[in-house]
Amino acid sequence: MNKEHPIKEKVFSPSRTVWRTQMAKGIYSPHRVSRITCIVNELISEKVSVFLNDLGVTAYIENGRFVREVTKPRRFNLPGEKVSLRNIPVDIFRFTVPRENSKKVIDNIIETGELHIPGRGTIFSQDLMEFSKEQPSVNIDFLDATTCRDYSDVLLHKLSCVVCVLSSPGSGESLAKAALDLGLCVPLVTFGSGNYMRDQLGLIRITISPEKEIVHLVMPEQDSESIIRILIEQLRLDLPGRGFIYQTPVSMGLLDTYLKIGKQKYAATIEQIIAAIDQLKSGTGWRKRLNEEHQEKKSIKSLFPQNNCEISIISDEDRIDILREACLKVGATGAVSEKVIPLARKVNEGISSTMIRSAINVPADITDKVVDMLLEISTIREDPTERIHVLDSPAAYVHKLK
Amino acid sequence: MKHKKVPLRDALVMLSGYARSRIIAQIRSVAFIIIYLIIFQVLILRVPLSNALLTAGGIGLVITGLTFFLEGLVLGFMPLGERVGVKLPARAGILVISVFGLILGFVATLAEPAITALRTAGSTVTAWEAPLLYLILHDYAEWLILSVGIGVGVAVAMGMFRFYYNLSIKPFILIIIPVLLIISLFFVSDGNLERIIGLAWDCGAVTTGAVTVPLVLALGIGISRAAGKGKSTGSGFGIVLLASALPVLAVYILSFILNFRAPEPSSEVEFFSAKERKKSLILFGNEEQLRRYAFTHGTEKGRISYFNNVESYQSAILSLNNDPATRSSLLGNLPVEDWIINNASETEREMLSYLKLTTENNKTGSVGKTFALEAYNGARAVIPLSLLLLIVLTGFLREKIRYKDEVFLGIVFTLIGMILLTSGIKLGLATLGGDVGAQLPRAFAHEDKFIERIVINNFDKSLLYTTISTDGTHKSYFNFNDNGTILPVEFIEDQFNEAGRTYEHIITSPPLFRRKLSVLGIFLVLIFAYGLGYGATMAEPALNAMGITVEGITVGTIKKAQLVQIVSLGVGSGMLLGLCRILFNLPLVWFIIPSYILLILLTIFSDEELTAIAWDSGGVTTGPVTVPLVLAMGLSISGEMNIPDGFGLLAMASALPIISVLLYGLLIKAKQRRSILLRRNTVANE
Repeated sequence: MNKEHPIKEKVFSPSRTVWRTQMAKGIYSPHRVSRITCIVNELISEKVSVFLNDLGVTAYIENGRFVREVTKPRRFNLPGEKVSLRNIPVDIFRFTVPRENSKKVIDNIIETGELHIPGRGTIFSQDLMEFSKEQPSVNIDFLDATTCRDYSDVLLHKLSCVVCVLSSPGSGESLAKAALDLGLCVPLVTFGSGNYMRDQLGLIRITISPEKEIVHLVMPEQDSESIIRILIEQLRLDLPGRGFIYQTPVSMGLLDTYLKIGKQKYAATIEQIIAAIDQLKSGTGWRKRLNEEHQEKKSIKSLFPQNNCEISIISDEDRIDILREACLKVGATGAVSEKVIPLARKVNEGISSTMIRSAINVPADITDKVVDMLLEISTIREDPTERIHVLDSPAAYVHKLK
Repeated sequence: MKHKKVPLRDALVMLSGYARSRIIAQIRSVAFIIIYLIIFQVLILRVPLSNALLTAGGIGLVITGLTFFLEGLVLGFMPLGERVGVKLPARAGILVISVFGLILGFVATLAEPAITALRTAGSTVTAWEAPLLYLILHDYAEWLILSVGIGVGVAVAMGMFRFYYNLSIKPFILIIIPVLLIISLFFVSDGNLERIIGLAWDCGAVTTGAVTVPLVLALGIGISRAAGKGKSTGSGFGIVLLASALPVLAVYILSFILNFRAPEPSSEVEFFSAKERKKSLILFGNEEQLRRYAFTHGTEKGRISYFNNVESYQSAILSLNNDPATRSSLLGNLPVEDWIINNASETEREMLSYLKLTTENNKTGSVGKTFALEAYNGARAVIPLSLLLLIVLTGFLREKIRYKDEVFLGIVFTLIGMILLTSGIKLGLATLGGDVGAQLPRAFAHEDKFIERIVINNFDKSLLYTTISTDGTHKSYFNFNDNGTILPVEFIEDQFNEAGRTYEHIITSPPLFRRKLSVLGIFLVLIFAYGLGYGATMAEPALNAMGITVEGITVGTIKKAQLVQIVSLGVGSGMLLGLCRILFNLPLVWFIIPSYILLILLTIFSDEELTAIAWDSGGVTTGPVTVPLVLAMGLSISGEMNIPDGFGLLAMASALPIISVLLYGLLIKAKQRRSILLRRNTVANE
């Protein structure tokens, strides 16, 4: 068994504060759940959908793409190699389950989608607070009846998910390239929109595109801060209007190690070797990316505000504007919205509305206020599809105009 | 929310950056076609650019127009369409949605300026060779547009129905397309109906224009988002396909009905003969119009056949000069000089030889007039559709429009863009394309090509001078003053009319290659067609709008530039095939049926989303940039080859891109599948 228990080591957790505050108020009771994010190749997505339907969870699907590096010999036998990026369409399933069931659900999905084979997908779970009408549940009978093997040996702990929201078009590509060069993981790119800057302007806003490219990277926790720093430097996120970056903890996950396609110099790729050692050592703690020089830099923590919170809202498209405006009133800015499709449990469930998942990163001191405001305005009590997730974000970087 | 004030300087910086990026993108998209046309004209055909200034101005307008138009779509039309699509299923039942779709499709077709292009394609059709086609294009033109409108309306309604109930697109393709193919086959056996096939398929290609497509796409995406469950509906694509296919069916039905009225095709002499008069009069309201048609479109044989005896024929010809009433009855608005130059035979010309002829070189149409006409067309294309959407959204759905000012600006941009684009094409691009197109038949011609006939009045033989060549032969020449340029012209006795003292100066251009090299010429023409199709499609705004949508829906897995490239390659190949059919005068069905059978096979093996995207990109390709250029070329070549109509090019230019996109999709999917299976096998082996 693994000895590492990531979240519990944290001294201060804003999401736990939210939980305490809301429990004390007694109006809304947050549920402590695990949010499972499962990113699979489009070709396997049907299998996963069927499983999730049987499991009886409400999942929200989003389209995205994995970026891999392809190395090919040059044409006409010319010397050298041609390195390019290949986009692979993937479906992202997000759903919440009671924390005690998350491991078994993950095991089952790994088995269903054969995710332990590199190149098929990534799955990870994050512990968070959820506000919703009904407590998330799974079809226990179905889950108990499944017979799948225990995938503890391939599941990694102490991971973190770094989310980069990029404003300039095409920058997703360069970030993905940077991540692949660093050998981090297969980057996931999705499209979203953010209107914060635009909404502040008059008609001149047409010059600013609302479209954002969002890159999700899952990596060992101890690496994340230095990686964020490298990415900020590479993408010049320290300039205004370029985007922002933050990190959220992942309790366990299985990462796709199929980073590079093509000619291979050695018997195994470096990613395969790392994965094998991870498995032997039961974790990623052995990995050391930083040298002494970087260690020194690490002590300068000026860049990152600590103890932020990621609040994500899943709601009807129309309501999301109201919720976002409410957030703005209490000083939470920079929400990014992505279109999601609810995975209907039954085919004849009727017409569902258009859903949006909107994520916002807020400093710890206003988290309570934002959650209060959102809960006040939301229709969580009536609408079974609306959800608010509160999740710690130990490091974030947003450029602030002075 | 209160808006922050942006200082003027900052605003200007923001605006200039924004405008620059958009304009550069459009310059890139039209660069190929412009450079290609100029290179072809100047370097290969060796014809100087006529009116280079106007052409350059026109090209500038095209670029500005495209920039405004595309930005307008992105700001105004597409968000508006998607909003209506998202809200409709929540507030209205399927019946209301279908009725809305029907109205929208209908209005969109009536607003479509490209549909008038079909008349141009059919302008060379003669009433005796293809009576039914003539009947439909002239007497029943409104019916044609109406039936195409109904076709598109039903298509949009059907598309919405499909999204509402999450139906797959494949059954629609696998039923509708074979039905169309079978009808086409059936039509081949009838002389009259056979001629309709080109028109019908071209109608399907043309109806889905630059405004309609992005709107319908946005609407489809909205509806499938609101009504969709999971990812089963192809994400909003597929309406354009239906809107390209159903009008074909509608035109087939219309022509089948009208075929009972139309006379059989006949020879010109028969057609104008008194015996057949009754039948011929079906196509023309009265004798006068038939007679006028014999003069304006027929040849000498037809006219003689019409008058039945030579005397009355001759007196009619002679009266062209002396009797203004008869002249206007016989020629309509056509000046008698033009008639003599363009329509009259040698004998007829001699009969009227005493007539003093003046030719005016008044080719440059007024720029102002072009703008006014295009402004009217643009307004017709943009305003009814935006009003319909706004009324439905605010009046019927009672929805507020987010970013009202932006949407309004978008609509204004679309309108401005449309006007600038179409005027620019008329003034610049089409002139350029037309010039090349007109010269193109020289590439495979055996003889000198007739360019122009100039009549010199009061010709004085004393102006002639004699020249001598190395072998001692003498030739007579005179100097011709062409707007200040002095040109030595060889004097040919036959072209001098003693009685009228007129000299007909005929300007010709020699064939590009020597007689033996006509295969090379044909090859050159085909290459030209390929490049023209490729380049024009790259600049097509509807395709660019669709590219943006596809890139968004597939989260960049299929990039806009990739889609545009693949579709353009497809259109290029389509043009090549379409031109082959014109050059070798082959029946259109020989091309349509095999391509669509291939398409059906590819469709069966492709996945849902890509099928819809591929079939939609077929409909998108024929828009305001492609149609005028393609028609200019098609007509000039079909005119040269004496082929009655220039139909079929657009149909092929729509079919081939579907094949190229489907093939590309299958290739990508195969790669993906292989990489997954390969990995699984490796792990299994371990």
